[in-house]
Amino acid sequence: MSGLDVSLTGAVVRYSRRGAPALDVADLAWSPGLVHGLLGRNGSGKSTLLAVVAGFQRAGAGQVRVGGDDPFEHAPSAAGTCLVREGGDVVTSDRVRDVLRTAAALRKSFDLAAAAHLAERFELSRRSFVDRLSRGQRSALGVVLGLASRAPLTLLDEVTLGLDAAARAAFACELAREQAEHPRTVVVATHLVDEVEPLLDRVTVLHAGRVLLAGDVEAARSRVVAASGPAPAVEGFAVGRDVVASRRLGGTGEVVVTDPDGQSRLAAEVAGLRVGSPSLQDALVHLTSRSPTPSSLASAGAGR
Amino acid sequence: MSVAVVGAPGSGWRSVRAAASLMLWQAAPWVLVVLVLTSLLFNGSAAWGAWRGAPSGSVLIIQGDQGTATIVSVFVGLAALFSWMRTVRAVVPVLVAGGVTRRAATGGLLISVAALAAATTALLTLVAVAGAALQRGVAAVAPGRSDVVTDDSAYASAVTFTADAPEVYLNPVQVFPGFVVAALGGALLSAAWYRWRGLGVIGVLVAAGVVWSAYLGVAATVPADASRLFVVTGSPRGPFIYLGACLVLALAAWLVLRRVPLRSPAR
Repeated sequence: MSGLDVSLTGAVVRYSRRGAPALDVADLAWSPGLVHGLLGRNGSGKSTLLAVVAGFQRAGAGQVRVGGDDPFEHAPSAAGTCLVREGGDVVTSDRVRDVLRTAAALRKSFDLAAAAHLAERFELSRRSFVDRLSRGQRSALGVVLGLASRAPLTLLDEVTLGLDAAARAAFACELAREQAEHPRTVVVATHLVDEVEPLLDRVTVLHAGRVLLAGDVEAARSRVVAASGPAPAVEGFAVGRDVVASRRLGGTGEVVVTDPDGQSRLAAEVAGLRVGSPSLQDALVHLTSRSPTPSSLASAGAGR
Repeated sequence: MSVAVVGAPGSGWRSVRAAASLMLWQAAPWVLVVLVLTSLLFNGSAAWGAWRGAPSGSVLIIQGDQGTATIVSVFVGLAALFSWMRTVRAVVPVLVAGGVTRRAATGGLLISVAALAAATTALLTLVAVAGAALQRGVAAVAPGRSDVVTDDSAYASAVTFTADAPEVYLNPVQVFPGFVVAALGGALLSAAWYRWRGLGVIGVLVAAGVVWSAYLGVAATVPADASRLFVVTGSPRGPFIYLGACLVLALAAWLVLRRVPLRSPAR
């Protein structure tokens, strides 16, 4: 399997002594060669987690391993990891072509021909100055840098922000093609889940710096179940369950409950309710729209 | 440099060289243009002032002055250092994102500083020598000049020779309007450069230099009865002060780079 594996154990990052930790990961592992989705709301700790994995900063406590080694100031890990951040770590006064050349000079695995192809695909003029690019074009440049890096561990932090529909489709297509031709470990961090859901092999959901869910997409989606039907039946079903959302329209009700063990789905079916699985986006919204409960956190790290 | 060359694969010469190249590419144009042009204009303005300001029959004394050279070097050097610090701050995240460790980035930084400092020192020395030669040539053909002296012993004899005449001590920074031209030129150059780079501390320094020079250029005059004129030029030793400042900067950057976490730009 190509790509680098990642593991974190008890990793904690604090930006202030008294405040809550920005990151507090008890146990997390990303298998090599897969596309992982790192999902969560703004400020959930996604960027911090990626920065720690990429060796941009060091965790205050715990253990972080990339390919079995501590990535901080570890040259092979640094050379094998490419983190593309939302703001873009490029010299903004340079032209796009100079940014690509610089990336090629710094990283042995960087494929300049692939970068040229991707730039054309995203309609990115290589003569343009970076600081004159639009938000979407800057994001596209990040995508180009990340995909063309061919790094065994490629971390894409909110790279789809600002991309229009056509560019997002192109991103999905190119990521899938790259993964087929040059398989590696890819982590896509985003809070726009629908855009990337079809690409993901595994998902990790962060909330308030902690891992809420980790596992394959279906498992994540099945952590919540939506049941709808006559309002009295729905209300009866909801009693004693971990309700994350509910609504009522006339005599019809719908409730979304957590379902870590499949029992809620079974109970809804037994009650004669219509049962459905919310989309990953819906599941994420439901799971992260409130403070994590002990019951939901108890399942954190169970799936890998 | 061995700190960056040794170690596991990936921290080697390729990374160091790439880091040095990127830093040089980003810093060199600005630093070289500012240093060379300012020095050139400084010496050129001195020559111009000597030619137009000296009264007939006076003695022109060209003397390298360490104090003046220090002032100029510190002024220009500060501008260069601020520019460089900003370059380092901008470039290091690019390097780390490109798969280079801080250790290799530091190696690249040291190499780039050494290379650029050596190059600018050589250039500034050449400019200083050329400026002195230019001044000597101008003074030699100027009407009414009886002598040109370039060292302290000759200065002593010149003083003796014209002991009963009024004496004027002129410093090009204080007197020559040409320096105003130089400062304005520097400001225009900076404005053009900041079209891409953004205005920072260096802009404030340049603006202060323009105001200062303009005031002194207007205020200073040469008395009509002056019989001796000192032209104090930048010393060839000045650039070496800049070299030392660059090395101090490299050391400071090295100490900072080892510890600074590279947080998300959004933070």
